Amino acid sequence: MMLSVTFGIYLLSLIAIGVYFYFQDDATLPREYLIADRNVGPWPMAFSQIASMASGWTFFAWVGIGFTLGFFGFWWAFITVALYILLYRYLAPKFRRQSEELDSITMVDHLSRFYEARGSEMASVIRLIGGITVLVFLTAYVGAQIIAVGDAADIGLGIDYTTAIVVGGVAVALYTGLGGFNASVWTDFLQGILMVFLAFALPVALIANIGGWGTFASRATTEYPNLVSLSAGLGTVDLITLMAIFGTFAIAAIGQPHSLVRFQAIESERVISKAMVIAMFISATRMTMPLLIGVSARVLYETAEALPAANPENAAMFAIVDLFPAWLAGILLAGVVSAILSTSDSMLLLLTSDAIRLYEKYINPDASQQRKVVLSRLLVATVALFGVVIAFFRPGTLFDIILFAFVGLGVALGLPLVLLLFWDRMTAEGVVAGLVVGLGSNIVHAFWIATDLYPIFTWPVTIVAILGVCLVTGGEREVTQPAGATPED
Amino acid sequence: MLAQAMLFGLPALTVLAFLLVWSLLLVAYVLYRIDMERADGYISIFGWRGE
Repeated sequence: MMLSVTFGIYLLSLIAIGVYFYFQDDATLPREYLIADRNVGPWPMAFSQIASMASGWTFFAWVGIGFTLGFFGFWWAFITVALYILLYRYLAPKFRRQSEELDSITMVDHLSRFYEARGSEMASVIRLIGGITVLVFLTAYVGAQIIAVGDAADIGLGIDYTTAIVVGGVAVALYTGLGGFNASVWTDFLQGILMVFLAFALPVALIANIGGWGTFASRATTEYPNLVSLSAGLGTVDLITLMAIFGTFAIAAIGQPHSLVRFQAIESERVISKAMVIAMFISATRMTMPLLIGVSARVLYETAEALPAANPENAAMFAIVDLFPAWLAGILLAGVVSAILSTSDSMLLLLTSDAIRLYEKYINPDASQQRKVVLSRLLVATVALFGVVIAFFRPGTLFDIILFAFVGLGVALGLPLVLLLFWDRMTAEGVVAGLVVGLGSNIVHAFWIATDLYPIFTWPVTIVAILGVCLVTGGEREVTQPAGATPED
Repeated sequence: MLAQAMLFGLPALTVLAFLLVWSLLLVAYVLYRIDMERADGYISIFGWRGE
């Protein structure tokens, strides 16, 4: 009972944040609703950027990897955290600056407006195909998050799965729909703090229950030598294959629109460096500590059969309920659900942002600001409902759905954006090629061809398509800067 | 030799990999300090701003 009360208070506090921003006057403006008028400080920006990436992955799938493969995951952790340094130092400043010049509010909007400003007729095609791409991958992603909410509430609170996915869907739709980007950022900030707390508290409790660090290290090394080895006991070919799969998975961080929109919204290019340090702390935490949770849970519980549904991905949830008093378990459970909801709300906003731009472009160019905000809120509710439906039917495992959506976004959106920012010969046709081939190759590779090696091949196929089309269609792009523009502007 | 070594009761390479991930936080902080002192907070390459 106490556990449910604590968790209920957490959900209500999220909705309260949404209601607070709903009553702020400025929230009637779409840009305020969608990217907080580019006025987000480094702390909420960094916390929300990483929290929006955490998803059900961190405390379910990543803990499961720790439970089954152990500290092998440090390879992937290093690639991911190092990639964030590159994203913050090289992509973020240029993206932020260009985004303000173009007045773009999402990745798709950016790709389209960039070529629209240069008079390309392909800009509308980019917006349409980009919108479809986002719709396909983010809806699947939202569905995966709601599945995770259902599992979390089912295992942690004993709530029926169907009820849990409906409650989770309604909560996230309410606070995102009411408060928009501001609510998303500030709830992500709160959720990020809870996640960090959980990431440190849970391994401490697990190791204390095992008998302290010495006992844990001794038992892990002797009873589970593969778990504490960087090679996970795999042969060379398997190791290289697995590293290639994990590596191509990690690189997809370059194309997550719900995460990169934080770069568009940050208050100034001058605070990106500071935000990077904060983001590195949270990122290193979320990439290393869940592995420790997984390994220590394996030592404590010994086998997956001891976990709900005999699923290693449920280790963290089970340990929370098993090891902590009810009131604290409720708070920690909120930390797990936080990782999920913070991703979902960001995705919902992104989807509606691109849908609103499509509405303006093709249906009602003269729509009032108020009408667009109302429409945004209706869309948030609709997509959340669709996510609940996906969660109800569970078309695949959590890992499969997230892998598909994450890589799909990275390939189809990330590659065109990176090339647009850093390669002068990138053309509008090249962006379209990236979107089409990225979307198509991802689906074909995931479901039909070389599925065991997914997502290794979707990257080179898409890169070759983009480069080929650009070389055929383009001369050198004219580099334009609005008169008087400075990096700070 | 290092492959067999132990650190804090775990294989040394594993512990070093963990520390390597966290050392990126230190790298980020050093770069941030350089940005603050030499480039007025802007992202820079050791104080030099490309554009």
